[in-house]
Amino acid sequence: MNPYAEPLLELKKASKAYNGSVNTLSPDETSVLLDDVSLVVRPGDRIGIFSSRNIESISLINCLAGISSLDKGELIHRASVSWPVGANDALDPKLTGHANARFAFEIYEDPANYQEKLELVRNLCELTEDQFHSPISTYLGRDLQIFRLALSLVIDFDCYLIGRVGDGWKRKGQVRKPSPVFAYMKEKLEGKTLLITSAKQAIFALRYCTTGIAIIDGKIAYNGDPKVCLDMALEHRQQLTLQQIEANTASDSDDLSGEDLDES
Amino acid sequence: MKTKKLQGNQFFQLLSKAYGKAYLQARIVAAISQRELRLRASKGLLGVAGVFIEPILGIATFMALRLLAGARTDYINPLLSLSLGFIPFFLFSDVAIKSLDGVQKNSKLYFYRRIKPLDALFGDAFLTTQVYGILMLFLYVSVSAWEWNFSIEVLGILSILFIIVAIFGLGVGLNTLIFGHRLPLLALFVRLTVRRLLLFTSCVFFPIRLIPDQFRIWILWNPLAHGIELMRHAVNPAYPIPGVSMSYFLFSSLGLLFIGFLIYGNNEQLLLADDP
Repeated sequence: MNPYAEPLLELKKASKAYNGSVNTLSPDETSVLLDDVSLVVRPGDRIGIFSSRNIESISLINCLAGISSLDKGELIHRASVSWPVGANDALDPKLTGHANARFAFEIYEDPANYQEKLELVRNLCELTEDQFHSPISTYLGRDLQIFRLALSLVIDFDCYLIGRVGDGWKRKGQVRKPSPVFAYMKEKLEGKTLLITSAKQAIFALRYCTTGIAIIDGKIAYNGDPKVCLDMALEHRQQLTLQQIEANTASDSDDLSGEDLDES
Repeated sequence: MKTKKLQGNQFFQLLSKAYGKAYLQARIVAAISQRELRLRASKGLLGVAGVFIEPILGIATFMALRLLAGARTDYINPLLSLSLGFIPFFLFSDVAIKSLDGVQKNSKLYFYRRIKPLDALFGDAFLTTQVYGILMLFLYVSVSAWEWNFSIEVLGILSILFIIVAIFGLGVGLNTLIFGHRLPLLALFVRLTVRRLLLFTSCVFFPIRLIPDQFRIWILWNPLAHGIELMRHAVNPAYPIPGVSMSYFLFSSLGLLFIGFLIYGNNEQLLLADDP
């Protein structure tokens, strides 16, 4: 990591709120997901994003990828930045795996590489030619998860944003051998610039990142050791849970006292 | 000397960068067009053939009704005359009016950050132009082979006019893309009325010369009517086209495209926002 290198990705004073049901919010309540967040990603950075609420870190990854708009602030991409690895909303269930993968390559890859990369995706997903040329709506959930992951990894980006990758790729089939995409991911992400959400994959994030940021109440509360970030996020989550339990207990007792009054 | 050389290098660097961007844009538009073709093919039983057969059936129904009602046979073969009305009309309406839902319809594609609403509109328009272009070519070649009077010059002029109709559709489409996204009620109104209104005011069924003078001036506001009549005139130069102007058709098409780009340029971020 070179602190003087030109940033690949910059987020300036970003804010984002969410209307509706995050945890226990009612539809007319607003939850702040990001509040005045600034972040600079330089070549070689491997940053884990730890937050007490999963939606905050996922939202930050989505905003950095540019698939979710910011309410305020600015996002600057100075290099090719991936979409959140492991997700892919652009896949159309009516199209075959081959057609979906080819479309992604047509957008992001050099035409000379299409065939080689299509073959690589098929091999990583352990699909037969027939399966690869079938609509992805016929794929099993785990196969689709592996397909999404393989497609994201096969394309060469300068910076990878890693969203929720799930765990279907860890084991495949009755023999319980790891999917080839598991080994490929380790190889591909070696030495690459990464940002990883820790949402439901804290161990995975700790394994791949060298530094971390802790997001508490939408703000970056700490930037440094990933383990400290994880501890801060967990501690704040416990506090939120306790507050929630207290609030629920209070509202239950209010309801009960209301009933008593009605009865009297 | 050194400064001049540097400026020269910078110029070529800029040129190469612009070429790279244009090439990428063209690749993206072609990819969206191919994807749309695959999607349309996957919806029907006949696959890719269905993509071409479906509009043929639609146009054939209208043409059959018009021929049964008694189409005029002077100047141009009635089948060709009606085809030169229906095909540009459907091309225009498919490109322009379908753009009303364009942003929402293609919203999944914006997951790939390189794709913008403009690319999706261009991709759809490119495919629609290809489909109707092939239909028009097929009909022109069939009718001219039947009548034994094929002319490559006519085909050339028809192709140019057809491309201008596509540009006109794209210009209107760019505007409707934004208005449709911003004003859903207006979009609904346009969807319900404009297509029917245009069908009867674009010289699809009747040649402009048959329209009384007092109404003709109103019809001539519609650039599509000019385009359709110019296409018929291209097939037979004796076909009368009172009041029809090539320059009006060309400049209104290019003008609308320019205005569309202008409005789009100022509203692109708004189209990409999560909520309308």
